[in-house]
Amino acid sequence: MQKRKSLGGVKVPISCLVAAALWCVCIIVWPLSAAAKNPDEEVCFDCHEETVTAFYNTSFHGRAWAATEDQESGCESCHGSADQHMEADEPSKETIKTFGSASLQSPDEQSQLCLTCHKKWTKLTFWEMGAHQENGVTCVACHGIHQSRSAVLQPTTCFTCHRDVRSDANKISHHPIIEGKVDCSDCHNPHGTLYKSMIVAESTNQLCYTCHADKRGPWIWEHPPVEEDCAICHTPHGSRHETLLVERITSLCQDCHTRHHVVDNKLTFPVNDDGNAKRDLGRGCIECHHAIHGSSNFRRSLTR
Amino acid sequence: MKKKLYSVVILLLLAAPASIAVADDGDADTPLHGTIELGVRGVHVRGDSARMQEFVELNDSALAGVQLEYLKKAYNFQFEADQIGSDDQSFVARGGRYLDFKYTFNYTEMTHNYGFDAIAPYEGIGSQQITRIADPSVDLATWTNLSNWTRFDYKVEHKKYGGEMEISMNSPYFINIGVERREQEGLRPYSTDRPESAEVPEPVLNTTDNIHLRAGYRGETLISSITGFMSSFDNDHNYMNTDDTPDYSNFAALAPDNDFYKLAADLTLRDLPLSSVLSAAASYSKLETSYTASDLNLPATFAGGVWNIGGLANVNTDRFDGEVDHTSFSVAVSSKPLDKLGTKVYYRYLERDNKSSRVTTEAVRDTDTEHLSYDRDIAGIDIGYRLPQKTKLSAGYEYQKSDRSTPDGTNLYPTDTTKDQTGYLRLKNSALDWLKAKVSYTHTKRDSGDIEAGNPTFFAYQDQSSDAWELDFDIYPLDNRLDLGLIYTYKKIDYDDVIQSRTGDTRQSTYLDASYYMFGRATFSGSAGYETVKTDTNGINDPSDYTQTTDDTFWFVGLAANIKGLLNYHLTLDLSCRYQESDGEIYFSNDMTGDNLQNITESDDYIKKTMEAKGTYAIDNKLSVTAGYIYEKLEYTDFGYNAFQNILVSDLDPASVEFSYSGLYADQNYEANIGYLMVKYGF
Repeated sequence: MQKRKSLGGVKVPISCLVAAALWCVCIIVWPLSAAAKNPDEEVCFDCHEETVTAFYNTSFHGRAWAATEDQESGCESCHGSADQHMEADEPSKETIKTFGSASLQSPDEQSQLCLTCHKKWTKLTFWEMGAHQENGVTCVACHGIHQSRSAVLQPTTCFTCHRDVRSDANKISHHPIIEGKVDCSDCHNPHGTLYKSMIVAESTNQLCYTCHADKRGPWIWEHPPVEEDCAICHTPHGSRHETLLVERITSLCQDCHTRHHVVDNKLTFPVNDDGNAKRDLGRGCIECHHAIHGSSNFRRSLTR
Repeated sequence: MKKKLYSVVILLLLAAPASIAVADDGDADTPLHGTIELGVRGVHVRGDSARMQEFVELNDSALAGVQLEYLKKAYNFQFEADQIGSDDQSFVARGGRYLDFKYTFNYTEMTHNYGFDAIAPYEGIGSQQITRIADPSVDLATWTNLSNWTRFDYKVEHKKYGGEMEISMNSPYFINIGVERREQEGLRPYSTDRPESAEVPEPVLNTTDNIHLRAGYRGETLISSITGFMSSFDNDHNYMNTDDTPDYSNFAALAPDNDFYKLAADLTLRDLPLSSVLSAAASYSKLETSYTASDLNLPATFAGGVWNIGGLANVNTDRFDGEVDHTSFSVAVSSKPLDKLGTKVYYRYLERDNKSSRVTTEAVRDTDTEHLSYDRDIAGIDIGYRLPQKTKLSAGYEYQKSDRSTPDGTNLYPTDTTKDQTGYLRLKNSALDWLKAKVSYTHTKRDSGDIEAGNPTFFAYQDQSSDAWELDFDIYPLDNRLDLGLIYTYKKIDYDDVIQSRTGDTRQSTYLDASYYMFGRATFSGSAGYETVKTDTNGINDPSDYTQTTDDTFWFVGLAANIKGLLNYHLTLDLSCRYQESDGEIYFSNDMTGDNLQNITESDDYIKKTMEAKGTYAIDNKLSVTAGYIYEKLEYTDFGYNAFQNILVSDLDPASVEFSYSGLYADQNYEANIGYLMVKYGF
């Protein structure tokens, strides 16, 4: 069996070497920079000084535009021409483009404005194919356009709409989502994919194997539901049953293994002092049948 | 101490780019912002602290965190360090220059605590060779004396680190490279049936190395890329022996090493006729492993093709060459032929081809390896039409066909082919300023063809029909001051022709949310949820043998308040509490409700109460102090752990041991009090 590669007797993963090289590249290319645009050049500055100044000084959009030396960019890039807004006796949201649930623009119109620049962003490659676009979820529903930090606060932002997932993630058995060790975007691309539930792999199994590489196999002895779809037995976000199972393990196994486990043995399951049938004790079926994800053993037996 | 030292080194390495930039800038107005947090935490736990800290370290400890953000014209850099020095510390550095390049480096640790203070009648725990403390058939007294058993913690430490960089240099072409290593080390629960049936700890020590290279083009109308991905899983413990004398009878094969390769390509074309967008993706992957019996340290008794293993003879080979290939192709076209009409047509294909070598034995039962291959075709259409009064009507249809096969055509399932048809209707309306409403209905029908008589199990592959309803309301009755949300879902699945296995599945869930915003000074929010799952399972050889009904209920309620501007705008208070309760029951009827299959009235039942209070006092605009308190209590009961005992004796021979348990999950109850004090300095 292949073992870990060594370099001069010291185990050094290639990934570490490449990471170090990338780090050096970042240091070298750091000093490159470009010119800036001043916030007071904005037509909006007189009335919205605080917002415009903060936008230019701290937001990613402001910094990016400032660096492009593109004098056409700025507030009006997104909010449209301010002429009508400024000429009105009482400037209102009806004379300027706004974003969010109170906007007069449709969700699609709002998103298209963002796509004017961001449609070349790699993660938005499949935006038009995603469920968020289809259901009218706008960019500003998740992203703070005027804010300094670009990252969306996960999972809090996602839980705002996905309340069933929030419920699951707080159950006794769950992926470490609320602990911040697994982000929603580790498994889903909220900007759209070609796959169901906007997962970032061709199938559920391929996705799960990203982290659970020990479950990949290939196995001498397979357990067909495992190869078919992890979701037959597991629910991804959280469960009231151990190890994210969709139901109590003995019930789950017996949904398929009715004959083998009950008919042949229905009168021989011993009980403990409390009278409980042993098949339900502890972790249930896997107290004996461990290799349920597949076995690499040449021998086939109950435990494989 | 070693961990602290490593943490500091990682901190310095990842934060170095920021310090270099600051030094290079020499500008008093250098836009470097950040926060540094230092503090202490005290934890008092009664009960199972492993359950309480399943994924986080919650001990008496010092706390430290750093956040940096540097923005210099088009350049940005962010650095975050959390839980520095602890077993769940993390460091992330990301940055880049707009339109030119961006990068991310990260280092994350996480401990997965399964259970502390487990015991097992074995020595050498943590290695591939564990041995019994005594042979119970010879010295039962020593073996059954729990004080002789070895004590250990079930936990696995995870480390993940790597980096990713994307370079485009203001051109439509880009290249993205990333590397990552994942490490796991610790003990996980396993089981063995020989010499005695026992729950034993599996030694976990493995690494996964991932590398990807992606290159592509990003234009106004065309985005396309090609990606190569390699992943190598290297397990230091491929097997485990559970007795002094390694033999097939006390041998466990653990996860094999494997190598995974994938080549993928994707494409999106925009600005096509009818405002269409075409997207496509294709991939081919290969998963490989190869090992012999000697790699698993199996005794060399294979001779002349005859190998007596567990009563099975004539194993055809002592070598396994595993290979599983996946081929996928997806294409979708999204169009807007009319201003109010949107459509999407899609097709997906996935093929799994298991080319692994077969291990065959001549024996008393079917013992050929059953390697599964399958292919799936999925095609569908979604249509959305905008009606007057901000109403949108959506409808869709999807067809999925799955074909399964095994090397010699052995029929592992009631059918080789299943065909699913799904249709849905959805209506959304947001005509009123204070109400958004959505109602949707989905129907799925699975056709499994003619079910083979004599093998009518496997509910997941049987004929079935399901109906699902969803109602979703967002209500804003007080103009930006009160938000209300209600979601109700109902799903019922009928497994039409099942006579053994699951026959029905009904699920309902209701979620309520409310938030009240008070003059920008306070937010009060509440949430509640109620979920039920009911399943029916029928029979063994005959429907009259028995029926099983499961009835699971889960509900929660939570309240939270955020109050700002107290004490002359210096104090912010965050208060929250949450209650959740899980109640499961399983009932049996007819013949099987005798002594053995008794009703289960406690199936993963638990009550979890959480309360948190946090106050943050801002001394000035740079310095703040936060004091917090968390209370959490879990009460868990389950049929499987009632009257728990580490040893079960044989019914047939009371002097003989039937099984040994480690005590994992036997008592998960805990009550925890956590207090912390943090000082935060911002600049």
